[in-house]
Amino acid sequence: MNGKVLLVDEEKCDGCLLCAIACSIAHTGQIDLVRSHFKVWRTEEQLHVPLTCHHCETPSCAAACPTKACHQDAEGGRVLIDDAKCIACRTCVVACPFGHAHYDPVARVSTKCDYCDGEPECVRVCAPGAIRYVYSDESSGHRRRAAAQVRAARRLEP
Amino acid sequence: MAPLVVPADLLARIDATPRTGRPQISWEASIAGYLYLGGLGAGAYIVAVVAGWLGLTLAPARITLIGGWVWDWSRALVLWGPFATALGASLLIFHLGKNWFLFYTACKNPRTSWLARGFLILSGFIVVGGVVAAVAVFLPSWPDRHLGLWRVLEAVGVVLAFGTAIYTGLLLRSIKYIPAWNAPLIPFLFLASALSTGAMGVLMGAMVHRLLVADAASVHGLARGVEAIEPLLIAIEATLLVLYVRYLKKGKPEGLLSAGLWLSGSWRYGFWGGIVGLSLALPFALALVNLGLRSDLLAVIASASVLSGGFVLRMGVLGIGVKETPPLYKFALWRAQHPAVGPSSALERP
Repeated sequence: MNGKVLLVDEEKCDGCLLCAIACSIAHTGQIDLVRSHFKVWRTEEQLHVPLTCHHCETPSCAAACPTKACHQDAEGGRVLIDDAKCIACRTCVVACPFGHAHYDPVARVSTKCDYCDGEPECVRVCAPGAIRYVYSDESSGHRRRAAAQVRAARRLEP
Repeated sequence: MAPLVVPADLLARIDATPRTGRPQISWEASIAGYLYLGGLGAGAYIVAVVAGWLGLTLAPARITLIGGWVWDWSRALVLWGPFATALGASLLIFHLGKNWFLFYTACKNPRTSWLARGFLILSGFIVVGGVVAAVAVFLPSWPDRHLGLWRVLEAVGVVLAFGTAIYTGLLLRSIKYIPAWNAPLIPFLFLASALSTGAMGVLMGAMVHRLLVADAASVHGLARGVEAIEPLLIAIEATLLVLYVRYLKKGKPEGLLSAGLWLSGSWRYGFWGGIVGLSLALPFALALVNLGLRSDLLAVIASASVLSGGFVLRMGVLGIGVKETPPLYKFALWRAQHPAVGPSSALERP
């Protein structure tokens, strides 16, 4: 995929939830975190984990969708759900390994992050800069560095 | 512009607890009903047709209509399987969303979607099995006049019925990130349950025939034949269930969690009472006792027990479906437990 992706740095996240609020307003017109495409999980140690769709190169949700409502955008590689075709069988919801596709009980369709057609609201409102919208090659470099750090840290463990 | 701030009391009221470690809630009772009736109908059709090939049928119960058209309603009591499967498929409508009327488009992606493949397999079984049942009831003399073609039609229905029964397990197995569903034994467990519940459903049909015709001999062959194989079917299902639970306990942490839900967790009553008790232990004991007693009442009780337990099994498998913890969350938990390690951003280029 040569498009842009959301790059999330969970260590910068302060749990303000503005990303989730902005997402729900942009897509539903109201503050409703259940219907937001952006979730922020809070661990017991008060570490915040912002989660959104990874727009996988081989999306499990699109493979599982029986009506092809969930599909991969040919141009930018985004994984999108066509509201007009979705029958809300929720196979995409159970198939996603990251739990990002979700059922919208008000719209009565399955739904997910669509990058706001190229200008993600979550990026715009994130004050700490925990969410960035970058080209995919920069994103993979960040993950490689983070993985290398984890491996180094494990070598330091007694 | 000043940064936006969410009030602390609002933040405190928002539940940011992840759903990790808890069973999924997307596929619920209507999906369990779809899986159950799909398997039950397929199993009943297989048992009824194979029993017919072995000469075990109900005595004909013919009625003659105006014009000399003869119906044999006894066949409807054993060949109802395709209609049960159709009923199960229609239950899905209650699960769908605003575009439920587009359910027929659920066959558009058979290349990768097991739900789409199942739509085609079930449709084929419902059509072929329905034709077999309709001909057997409304044109009872036709099979005798065209025996070769009739056997081919029945056999195609049996193949599609096997496909339907095993598909209900393959659908769950295709969900890779729920260990309790992705187990290799799930399709075979559901197939065994389909045959067991289908056999008992056919036995119930035979008991209804006995009640209406009031002739014990009319059901003797079929009922006793089904009762003779039922302990074997239950034993196979029980073995597969034990192997499945052992597989979960030895696999991924979420699989172990799922097994725990059945054995001692929130699903313990459903598992021990519904799945083990109703579906396996009680009917097995009754079947062994009834081999000597030949009591219709015990046969009905055993049938009802298996039919109930089969549904509990489907509900139980859906109810213990715990999704694997996402990698980023595992990393976050590791980071929380190792605060001495510096931030990964420190390694970023300036």
